[in-house]
Amino acid sequence: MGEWLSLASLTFLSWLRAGLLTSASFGMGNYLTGKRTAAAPNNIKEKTICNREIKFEDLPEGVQCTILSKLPLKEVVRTSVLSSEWRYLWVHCPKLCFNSADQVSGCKRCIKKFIDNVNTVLHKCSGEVVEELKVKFGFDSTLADQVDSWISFAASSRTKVLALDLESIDSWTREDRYIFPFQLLNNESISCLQSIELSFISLKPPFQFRGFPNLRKLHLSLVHVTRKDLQDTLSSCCKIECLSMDRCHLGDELKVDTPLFHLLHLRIVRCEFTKIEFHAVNLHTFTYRGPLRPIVLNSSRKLNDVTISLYKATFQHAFASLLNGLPSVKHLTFHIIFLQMEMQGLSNSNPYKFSRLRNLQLHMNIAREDADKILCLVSFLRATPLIEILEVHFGCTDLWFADVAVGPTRQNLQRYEYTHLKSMNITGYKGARGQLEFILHVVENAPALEALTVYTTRGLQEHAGQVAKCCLSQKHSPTLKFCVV
Amino acid sequence: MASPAMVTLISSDDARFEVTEAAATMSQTIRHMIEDGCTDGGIPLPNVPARTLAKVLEYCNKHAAATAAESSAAGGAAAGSDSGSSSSADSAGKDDGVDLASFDKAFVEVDTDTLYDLLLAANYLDVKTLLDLCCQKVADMIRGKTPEQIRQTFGIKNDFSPEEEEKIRKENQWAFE
Repeated sequence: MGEWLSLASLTFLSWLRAGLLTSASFGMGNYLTGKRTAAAPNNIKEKTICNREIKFEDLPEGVQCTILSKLPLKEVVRTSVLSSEWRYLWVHCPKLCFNSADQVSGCKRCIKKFIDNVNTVLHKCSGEVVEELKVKFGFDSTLADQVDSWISFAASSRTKVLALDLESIDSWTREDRYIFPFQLLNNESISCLQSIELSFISLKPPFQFRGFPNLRKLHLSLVHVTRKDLQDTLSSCCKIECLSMDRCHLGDELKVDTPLFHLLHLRIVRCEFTKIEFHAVNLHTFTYRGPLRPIVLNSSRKLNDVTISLYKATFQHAFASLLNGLPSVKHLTFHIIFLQMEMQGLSNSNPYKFSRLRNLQLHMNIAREDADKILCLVSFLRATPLIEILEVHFGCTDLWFADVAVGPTRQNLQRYEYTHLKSMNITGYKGARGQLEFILHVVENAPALEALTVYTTRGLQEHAGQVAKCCLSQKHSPTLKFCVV
Repeated sequence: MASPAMVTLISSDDARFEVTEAAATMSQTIRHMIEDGCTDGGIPLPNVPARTLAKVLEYCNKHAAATAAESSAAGGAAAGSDSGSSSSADSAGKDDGVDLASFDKAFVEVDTDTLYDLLLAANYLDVKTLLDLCCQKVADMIRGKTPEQIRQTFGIKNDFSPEEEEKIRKENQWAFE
């Protein structure tokens, strides 16, 4: 602090000397309510001292660390050559991030070189606090001891953020995953950890593992773990805020009974689970991509953003499943890649509702044989009493203008009002009858609708657009902003 | 509308600055002083000279105003209708974001001395976003440069002999490849 003071006063003198200390030059307008009353620019000697500027080396260590941590490690290490004062500055850099792809190609000798580089740096940084240690390289089982030594380094360096990405190009054919060395972590190092990212690793926590008490973020990718181990680990990470899993194939259900009060973000993609169940009352976002499985997040009443992308499913099944498991979602994006539709859902029979849903985005890849069932989409709409914004993106490659004369018309539907609907956006409109019936049904039943935009697909603008314009112009109210693009 | 609470800050060279409490409390250091009731007769900041404080306050005023505008826009939208996603609130927030980003960018377009003064002041006053902004700026000034260019930018005198420099390069060879 003493040094700070002297530096500050030196700087002060330097601009004083430069004649900057006049009320006008503060450029502060009304913020400046008083003028300088003390400070005397009288000492000529001091004026010459003040030519000494503040240098990087004089900045507080914490500030230096923050600056260095914003640079790639390579550039940080390069600063060692600048001057003797800079030589060892970089070892205080709290973030060490090694990616073999940045340094070497994938050959065996190159990997050896990469490991040497990592070891050289870690050796220099030993004894420092290293907040972040990230290593990414193509692992094979002969290198397990090396990786162990890095974990030991992290444990002794009070690391908060640990990332190990050991995936290689042939990982998907290999089974020799690195086994995460829980035995190298003691209670203290475990409680330091706030973020863990693991890829191509096997997790076998020891018997009665008590979890990571301060873990906020966990990302698991291509991780081998049993149902029980995963459930036990997650149950014991009581402060977890962000959980993400990618290609972790449990082949079993993932059910975490312990309430995770802090869990805000949950992401599960490309995983083989038979069921997913969490008790996370404060969950804010949820992303799922994979096969249609029961997802139970009923206790998550603050769910704001949900994105569901299913490989293959029947629309009605998927819709019923969401309604059962995610009733409190506010903004939903829903996508089925291989979509099938069934001819049902035109009645108001379903008593369950998405009671908070305001914004719905549907991505509908409707096959030609299902063209007569497009109108079934209204079943979804009817379960959303508060909906305000609706977007339907038709991705129908072989649906065609005025296709199919059969199928229900909107006159077959029972009356229903979408009281809050303000805006509807349709893309991929091809003038198919089901599409038009659907749009007309919504327009006729949404008294508060303010904006409707229909995007036609390339090559069809003229015909499809004309039909839409012609039909809709008679239906919509004069205040509606209506647009066919 | 009631006029906002004001506080007086006193720089190391005794210049007095009157600012809104919202702007002043972007500094955690000042926030704690206010919470401790040390505001009578102004809050002395013996480590920050007037010129730097003026600059810091320019930043705080801008950001505090943007935060206030954002929350009032969001509040107004919620009060006006029950639509959680009023487009006017969204777009206002977005505009502010763009505006703030360009303000920030211009704000750190200063000479190295001023930047260091700001760093020291932001660190002492504990204005997290400003500290981060200035740190990012210094990092950007290092990024992608050769050692010689970095020396020039920051006025660093190379006191290594060619042999010593070569030795250091060898030690960390991968970083220089």
